[in-house]
Amino acid sequence: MTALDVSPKVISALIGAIYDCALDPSRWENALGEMVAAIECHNALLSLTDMRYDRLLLTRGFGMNQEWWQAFQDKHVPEVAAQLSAILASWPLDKPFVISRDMSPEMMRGAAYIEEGFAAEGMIDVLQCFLIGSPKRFAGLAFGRHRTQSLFGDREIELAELLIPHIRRAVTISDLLDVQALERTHFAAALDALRCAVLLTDASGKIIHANKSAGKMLRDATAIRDQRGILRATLAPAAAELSQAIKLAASEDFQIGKTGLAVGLSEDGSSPVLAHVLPLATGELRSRFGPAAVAVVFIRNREDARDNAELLAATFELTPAETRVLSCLLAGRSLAESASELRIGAATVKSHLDNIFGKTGVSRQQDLLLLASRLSPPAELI
Amino acid sequence: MLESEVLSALIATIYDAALDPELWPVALEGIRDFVGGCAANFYWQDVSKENAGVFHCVGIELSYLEAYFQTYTKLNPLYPAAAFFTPGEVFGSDAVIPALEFKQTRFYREWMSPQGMVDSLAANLEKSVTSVAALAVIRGERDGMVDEEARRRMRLVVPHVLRASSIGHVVAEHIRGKAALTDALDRIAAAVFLVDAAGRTVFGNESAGVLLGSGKLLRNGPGGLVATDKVANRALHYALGASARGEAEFDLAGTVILLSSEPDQRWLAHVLPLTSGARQQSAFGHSAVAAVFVRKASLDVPSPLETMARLYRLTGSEVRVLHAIVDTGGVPDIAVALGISESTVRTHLKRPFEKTSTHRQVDLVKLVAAHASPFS
Repeated sequence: MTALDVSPKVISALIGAIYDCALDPSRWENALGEMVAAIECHNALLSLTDMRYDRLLLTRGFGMNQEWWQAFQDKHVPEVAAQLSAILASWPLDKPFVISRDMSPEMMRGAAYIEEGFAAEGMIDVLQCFLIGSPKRFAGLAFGRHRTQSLFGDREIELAELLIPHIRRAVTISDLLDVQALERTHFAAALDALRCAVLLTDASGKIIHANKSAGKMLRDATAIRDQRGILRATLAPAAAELSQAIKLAASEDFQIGKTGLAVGLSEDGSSPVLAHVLPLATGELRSRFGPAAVAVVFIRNREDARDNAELLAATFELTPAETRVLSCLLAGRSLAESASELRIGAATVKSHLDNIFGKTGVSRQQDLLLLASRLSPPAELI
Repeated sequence: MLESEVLSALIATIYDAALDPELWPVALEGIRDFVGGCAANFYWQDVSKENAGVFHCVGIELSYLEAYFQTYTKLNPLYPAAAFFTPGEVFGSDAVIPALEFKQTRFYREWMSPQGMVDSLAANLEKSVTSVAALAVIRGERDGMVDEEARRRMRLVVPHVLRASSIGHVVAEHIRGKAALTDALDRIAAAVFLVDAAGRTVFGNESAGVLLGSGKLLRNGPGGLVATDKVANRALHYALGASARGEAEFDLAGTVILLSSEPDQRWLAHVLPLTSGARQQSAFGHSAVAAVFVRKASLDVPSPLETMARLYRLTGSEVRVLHAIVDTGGVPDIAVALGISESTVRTHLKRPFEKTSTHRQVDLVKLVAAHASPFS
């Protein structure tokens, strides 16, 4: 015969309040309040502990006397943690642990947190639910009863047993979203470190993500701009071409080569700014709901073509004299021009160049230029 | 078992389906049995009645489903009125059409009756301007017409299906957003590693995987990323340590590490500390403190000449000369290589200079380099 006297309607609402916390953790206080009412107890505390560092990661409470709780934490946390670990070693995770029922007399005797800690708040019994118990972390939910109430009975234990899987699932969903959000932040940071602009758009060109360089480029608005959330090339002929390229990348049956569709964004005569449009491989994730990124647009920064003599020098351990010669050559000077600019003899320039060739492993000036452009760092400091 | 316990187990299945949509059929079976019915489905329908689709369905044979989409979408007398209910509100077919009238319709006679279906109750889950997504439980002869008990039970379930469906959207959105960013990183020619304070790799893009797979320059040891070259490894860990402590103001040249100095195998690593945004403390996730970009300093890049030919409208012979400028060198060498006179070379060069607004060979070479795509 079961002691559970709570109606399905109340149960359904209570469980609903728990899952509301999955997407919005600020609602835990509300959910704990509803649980305290249903379980008919004094207070409740949800806690998440990083076991490796004995660090409380999250606590949410209801009916907690803050002053008392602070004092309790200062004095008893290591003791409670040690006992919880001991209990967890042999206790089924899904079964609530009730101090008045399940604690052995030996454990009781040594427990100052019960005699001093709980007594100070007038608490006479605690029902502890285990949500997650791994070597790395512990998540638990404790309900407390006050001396004006009775000890926990079958009814409360059954109700807690019913709720535990839901609370655990809600915490897990919350965690999953946290981890995903953190990973997204990582990836976004890696893209931000890139010197070239990276934009993710949907089929209509709506900007779903823009890295740091792209943000700067959009604000400059010389090559691309943000027109009410839509990526547009600033020059009219390029605008149509870019929209078309994004549309093509979005159409799943269209095959685009590995280097993507190239669209020129700059005016004739100025140094080239090129957008490379590629489809994203997330086709199966496209859904009816909400926009999904379908295309990625890379735009190389104009500044990329700058002088990379210093970088080449550092990489290939060139001497200062060789670096100066390299710098002149990369700026487009001939050997003779370099010699007169550096005020050294033509033979000296030639000998420096031979050394540069030797160290970099290339044998022609053209290749030096190409090598320099390849060396241009993919990323910049922020 | 107590109704509360049955309900609790069913609700658990519903939220499991939010995380793993493949579990929806199991959840639908549970809903159908809890409410009382012979079939249940999770579907969408255009208000215009032109189109409909099923996300998940239990208890309806495939041939009837196909017939619904082919013929009966337009004949279903419940639409468009059924689309007007507020999401979450439970309604029976009698809220839209009187039972006697419903039984006279062609839809009822030809589609429902032959399957032994007598009635249905539903709730809208999501509405857009043109379509609605809904959950329906269809009653069989054995279940009888929708009664108050069925409505009560449906009302216990629907709020959870609604919430689970929005949790599912958020989770899917997170996964999608992450997948798109990962995909973008995979398109970068350089190998990208995100590394935490202990030097462990928390993310590697496709090129990073290939590089680790070859095992020549870098590998993942128990203590984190290890460069095979001893000097490079010291430099790498010094840079990572400084990034982790957030102390060093690296200058660009200083963070470049030569991973291999064999001729033709010069590999470079750029170490970049990540911004505070990515370093935010998370409860459990490892936090990346630096990004390491690794690439080969070589000249074997895909030729951007095709792109240039298209952008600057270069002819075949102009492309050949441009290619020769990059590949062979000065005019005399080109003349020999192509077997044409120097003056012909100059003539062929005149047009590319004009078309690209450049004046010197060195600028042309730079222009070609500038058109190289930023990925493989």
